[in-house]
Amino acid sequence: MSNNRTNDPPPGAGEEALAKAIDARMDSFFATRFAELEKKLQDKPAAVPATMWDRIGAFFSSGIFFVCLGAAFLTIAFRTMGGVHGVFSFVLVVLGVAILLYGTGTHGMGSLYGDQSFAKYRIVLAGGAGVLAFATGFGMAAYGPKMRDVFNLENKHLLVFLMPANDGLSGSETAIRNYVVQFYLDGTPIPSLADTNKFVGFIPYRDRDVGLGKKLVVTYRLYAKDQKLLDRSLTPSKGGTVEVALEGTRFSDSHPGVDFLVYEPPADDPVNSQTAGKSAFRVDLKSVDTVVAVLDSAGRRELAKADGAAIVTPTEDALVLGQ
Amino acid sequence: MKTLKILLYVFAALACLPFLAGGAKAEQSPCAPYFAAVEPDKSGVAMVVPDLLIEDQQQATRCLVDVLREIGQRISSVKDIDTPAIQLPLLSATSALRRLIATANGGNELKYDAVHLKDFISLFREVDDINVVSALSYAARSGEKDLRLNAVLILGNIIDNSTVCVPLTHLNDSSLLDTPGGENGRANLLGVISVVVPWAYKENYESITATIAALETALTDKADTLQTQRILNNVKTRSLAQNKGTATNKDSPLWKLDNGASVKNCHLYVEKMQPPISPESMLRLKY
Repeated sequence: MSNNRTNDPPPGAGEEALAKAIDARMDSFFATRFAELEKKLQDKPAAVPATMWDRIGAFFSSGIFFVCLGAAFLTIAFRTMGGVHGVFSFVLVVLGVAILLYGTGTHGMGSLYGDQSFAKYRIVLAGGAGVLAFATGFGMAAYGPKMRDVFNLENKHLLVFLMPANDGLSGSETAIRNYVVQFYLDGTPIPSLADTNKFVGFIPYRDRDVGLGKKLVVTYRLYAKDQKLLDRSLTPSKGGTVEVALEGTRFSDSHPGVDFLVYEPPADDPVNSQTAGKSAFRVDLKSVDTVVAVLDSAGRRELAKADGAAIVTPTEDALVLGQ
Repeated sequence: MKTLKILLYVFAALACLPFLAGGAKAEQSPCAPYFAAVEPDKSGVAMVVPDLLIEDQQQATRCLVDVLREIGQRISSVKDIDTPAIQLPLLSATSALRRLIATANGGNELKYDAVHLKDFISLFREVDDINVVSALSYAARSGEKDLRLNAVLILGNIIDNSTVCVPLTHLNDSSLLDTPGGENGRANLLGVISVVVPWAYKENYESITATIAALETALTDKADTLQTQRILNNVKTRSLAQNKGTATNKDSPLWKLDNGASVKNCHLYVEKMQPPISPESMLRLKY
């Protein structure tokens, strides 16, 4: 112990010499190692695919491929948004983002050379992807409904009910049974059907249009399938217009057995004056022509003459108008 | 022993109940389904008489006239006509009759006095009475447009000398214009009496001419009643058909029509009208 102490360099100058010695040995060690590494790298054949198939395989595992694939998914999502169900758009967008991140953040790194600064960059990029994933997860949890609406651009359908007027005549069994209906929105036919006691129009709309004060003008046309079967007091065809306000408060989901929301016309709607709160517009199916014909008949009616009275011929028909 | 007898009687009575009920059902009026069909639903909507009930047109006409008669008996004053208990069944019944008339008239294809329409009118007149025409006259002046039109479609075709006193009485009601459909009602009732006037018997003719004279004075210079004035002129023109110098219906007293039944009924109707007909108007009604 004491010998060692005597051999030790003096304090101060000795520590400095030791440090230099260690540095020299480490430099020598690293120089040797780097030389060996460089020699190995130089001796290693270049990582260039030997055949066409190898090149194709290399491309499909490269980062740029995954970037392109992710971008393609995002493009498809963008192009189809609004025309397909929102869930489909959502899946496409999530897949596109995930694949894009994979291509830029993980696989792409492995195919590039770099030094210490590059390694630092790699850590930053990977961290960014994690933050994005975390942010996406948090966003999905916190803003799920709003996100659904963002992707929910496809047309929904709102039911509009059209029922015969409550006049003791329009709602006869023959009326509903003998009419076919067609609804139109902006002149374009939309799905329509005749139910057991009403006519139904499927009005397309988008969630983003609700609550903005928009009003849709829906026209309808009813035709008798066979006029001979139709009650004489009913009209062979009837057309009309109803106004549908895209206000959520007018959308009712309280119709058992109906999967769609149903439009509830305002009580003061002129077409709906007879049916406040009945979720239906009303249509008067009585035939005006028949009324005119029957009133004409009344105007031409002749009564019996009394015994001994002369035959009377009025110069005018009676004016029975009905108002 | 006494208790046993009582129990036996009770059992016997219970055993007979189904037969008694069945018997009562068998004796149910054939028009009962029509009365039930015109009853409004709980939400206060006029019902549509089912197709099945109007397939037999004769039966339907008889029973619907019965329904109108019953409603007519329930109307005690003009205020009743716009109450749901009267208006809704009346709307259902008159709508069903409108279907029968439209079918009988041949709809849009056969106009003017198709044979079936004449048959319908003959049957209606055979079974109607002053209460039926009263219900229709109230309906013709109601606040509900559909009901007014239904009533005029029927009244215009079935009115005759035995019942025209009813719309005439309503035209002389001083409260006619105080009701929601008063203006339209006056025009409707004038149109109805216009049908009868060329063949009106003495009392009817005199009542009509006195009434239109009073209305003419009331309507002078009123621009918003042009339609009514037009109908009034039509009544006047048609009344001239009986002034050709020869004997016509106006020279025949009404008692000759049915041995005084119509005169008596009309007199009672005018007397019972609520609100009462004013003395001045009473002078115009010659019953």
